[in-house]
Amino acid sequence: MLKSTSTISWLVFAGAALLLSLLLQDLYLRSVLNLIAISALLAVSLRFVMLMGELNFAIAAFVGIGAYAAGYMSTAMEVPFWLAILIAGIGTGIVSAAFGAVTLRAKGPYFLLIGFAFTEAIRVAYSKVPALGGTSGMVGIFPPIAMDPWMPFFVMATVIVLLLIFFILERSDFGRVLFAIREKEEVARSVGINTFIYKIATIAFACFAAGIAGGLHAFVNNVISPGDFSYLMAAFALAYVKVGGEDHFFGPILGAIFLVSLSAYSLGFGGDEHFIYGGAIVLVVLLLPKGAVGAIANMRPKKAHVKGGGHAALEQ
Amino acid sequence: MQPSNNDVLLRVSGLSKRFDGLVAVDNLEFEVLSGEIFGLIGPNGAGKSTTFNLISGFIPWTTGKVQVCGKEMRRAKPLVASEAGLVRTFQHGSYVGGMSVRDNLRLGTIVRNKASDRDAAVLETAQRLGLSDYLDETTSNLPHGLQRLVSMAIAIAAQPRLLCLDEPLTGLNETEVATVLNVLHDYRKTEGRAILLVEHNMKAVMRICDRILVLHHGAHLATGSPEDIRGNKAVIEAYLGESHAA
Amino acid sequence: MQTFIQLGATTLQIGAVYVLFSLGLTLIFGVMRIVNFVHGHIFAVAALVVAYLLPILVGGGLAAPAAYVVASACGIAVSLALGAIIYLFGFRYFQRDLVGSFILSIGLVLLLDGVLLHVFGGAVRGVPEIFPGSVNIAGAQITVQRLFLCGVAFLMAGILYWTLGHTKLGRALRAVAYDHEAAMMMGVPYARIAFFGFLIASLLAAIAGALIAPVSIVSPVIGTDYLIKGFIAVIIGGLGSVPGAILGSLFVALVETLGGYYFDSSYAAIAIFALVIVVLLFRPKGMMGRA
Repeated sequence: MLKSTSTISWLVFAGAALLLSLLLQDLYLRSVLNLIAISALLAVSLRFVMLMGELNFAIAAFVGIGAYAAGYMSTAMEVPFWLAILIAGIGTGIVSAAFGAVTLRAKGPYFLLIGFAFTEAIRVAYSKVPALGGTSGMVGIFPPIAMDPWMPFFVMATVIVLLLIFFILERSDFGRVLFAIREKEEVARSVGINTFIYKIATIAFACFAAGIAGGLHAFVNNVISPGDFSYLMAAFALAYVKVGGEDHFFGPILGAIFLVSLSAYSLGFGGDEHFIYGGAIVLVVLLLPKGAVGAIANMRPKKAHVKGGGHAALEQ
Repeated sequence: MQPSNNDVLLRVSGLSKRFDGLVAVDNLEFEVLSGEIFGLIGPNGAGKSTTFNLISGFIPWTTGKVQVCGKEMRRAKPLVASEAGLVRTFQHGSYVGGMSVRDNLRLGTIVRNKASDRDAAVLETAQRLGLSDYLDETTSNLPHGLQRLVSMAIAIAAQPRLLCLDEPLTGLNETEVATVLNVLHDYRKTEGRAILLVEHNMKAVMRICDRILVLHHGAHLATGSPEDIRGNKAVIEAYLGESHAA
Repeated sequence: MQTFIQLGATTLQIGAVYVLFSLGLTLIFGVMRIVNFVHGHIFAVAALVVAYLLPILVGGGLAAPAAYVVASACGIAVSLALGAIIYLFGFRYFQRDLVGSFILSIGLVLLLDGVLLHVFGGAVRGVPEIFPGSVNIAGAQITVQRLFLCGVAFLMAGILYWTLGHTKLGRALRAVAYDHEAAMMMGVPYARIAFFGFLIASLLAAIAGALIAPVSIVSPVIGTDYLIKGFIAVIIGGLGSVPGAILGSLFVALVETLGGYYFDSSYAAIAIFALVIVVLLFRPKGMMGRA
């Protein structure tokens, strides 16, 4: 299933990332690395749903659900932090499956805008629940002190495991079905594939990952508030996908690394995060529609169009 | 697949479809039997495609009963139809252009085969249809004739009991048509299978079909063997009427 | 009864702005099949220009109503120019590309967020009332200012409706919205029509922005709030449908009014979302939507 070149790329990439997470000492850089890892996970999750042709703009809502669930379990119920994150992820996945079952009948722009409305409605909901801290948010979400030096490693390892699962799913028959759903759903249905279940499963797993990302976000930032999980979070994730390139698995990861680093760097100049992200997106969309990955692919010589020799009779 | 009624693979009764006052299909009644190649023909606008979409569960009927391999069909559920053993192709682009031929065929093998068996199933189907040399080509890059074969291969890979083909011969030259007819001829030789064909290519239909149903204005005009249909006055008039009007 | 009338009046007032806003959104979707998130900023720019210029003009000696007209004209002009630039250098290349155009619009939103913040500052501005006083209509109290807003909004909606039904441009817009390929084959100059459609939509948003300045506090972020409600109105009504946009806007305004009266107004957001879900469950393309 995994070609040998993929395996090597993966080992190199994962090894480098994990090593970095262990060796970085500077507190600020460690937090940036955490942010890059979580952002990359979100971007890959978003792209996973794009494989079936839908834009899961509700992703921010699910990150929030995961964050609040993990935060609540940890602060109010004293659940061990890793378990809180795991349960938060599973819970988010289940909620998203219900969401998908109801909303996926709406396609394209409707599904996109429902996700948008859902995100905003859930945000209002958080601020109304006193147990979740209301508008000011939830504080005091800490992993055990012993974990402090290991947090970036924990975050990176969790993210890498999930990315790997996304990768394997995409390269398997599951991914092929998603491709078919995007391009010619009726053909898949005609051979007995239950495309509805596939769509639900896709949303569920993508939002399970988003929930885990939320849990990680909660423990890494220690404080969460409704404002963290607005549609802008989804917009940023979309930016990572587009800038990195939506046609390849590693595109969103590259996009996340680039844009998050860019914003961290620009903060040093009293930077305007929105302005820079926005500018980068606009430039890439107008000049490099396939993102960084696409630009690289374009530089390779194109494959020749092959016509079969022995079947000349079948050609027109 | 339900091995209940082995003889009658498709039983249609009282099938009607109304679109806002326009009657597209009018009280249709017919059967497709195991082992036969059944043709559905008629002048343009006769309701062939609509009938096809109705029996395969892709659009809901206004009234009627459809039984596939003995299983009663409820409205507009392609999944139930294919579970019962009916697989259909589409008139245009019944394949996923952006995927390779191999991946396209694989789609057909997913439901019927365990993961470990799918590779072999793909190779076997490809060989049947003469596609073995093209497995790694992107389907949208292939010439039209090969794309048609891919469409058929996807359906055949799913091993349906009732293979339903929507105008499979459109745009194919003589040699390509011969290839397809051979494939169909072989396919139905296996126990308990049949083929339902919607086609415009009269020569091919007369050659390969065991029975033919002629539709006109959405209603049954004539049923019978190719010889019966060839000599049928009403059928000739219906077609002549079409060419007069055209 | 009195309450109902008052609630009805409030609904109409709130709905008026939503109507103008969502008409533009639905027009753009109908003609170009894109979801335009920058619409909020076109609206905000007009409002900001009015809020910025008005005190200056009044301070310079111009009577309030005249100053308002001048400031509005400027605001609308700036918004239109912005809209034209965004279309010509951006959306023109992304028609019928939902994901691409959406991502572009998100990028523009982020970009303009930064630009507006720099140009106008983060402070909220109030604009003095242009038409003071209030009237009593059938037992409901409405300020003259808001009455003016309502009037203009529904007038514009009416003009748009008439334009779509009775002018060559309107027919071309409808043809393109219904079947753009057929329209092109019939000789409709698609590119030009799309451009006009976008400009008309931007004009509606700009007028809405100019109208909202005297009745609401204006900050660079007001666009987002209306954007959310505008899109919800358009989903409920059906993307691409003008009557749908009007119906949807009034629906949203009604829920907001009732929600604010009987419960906490912020529950309205949740109620509106629930409403969207229910509508889409039974009509996945909105109440009057087409493909």
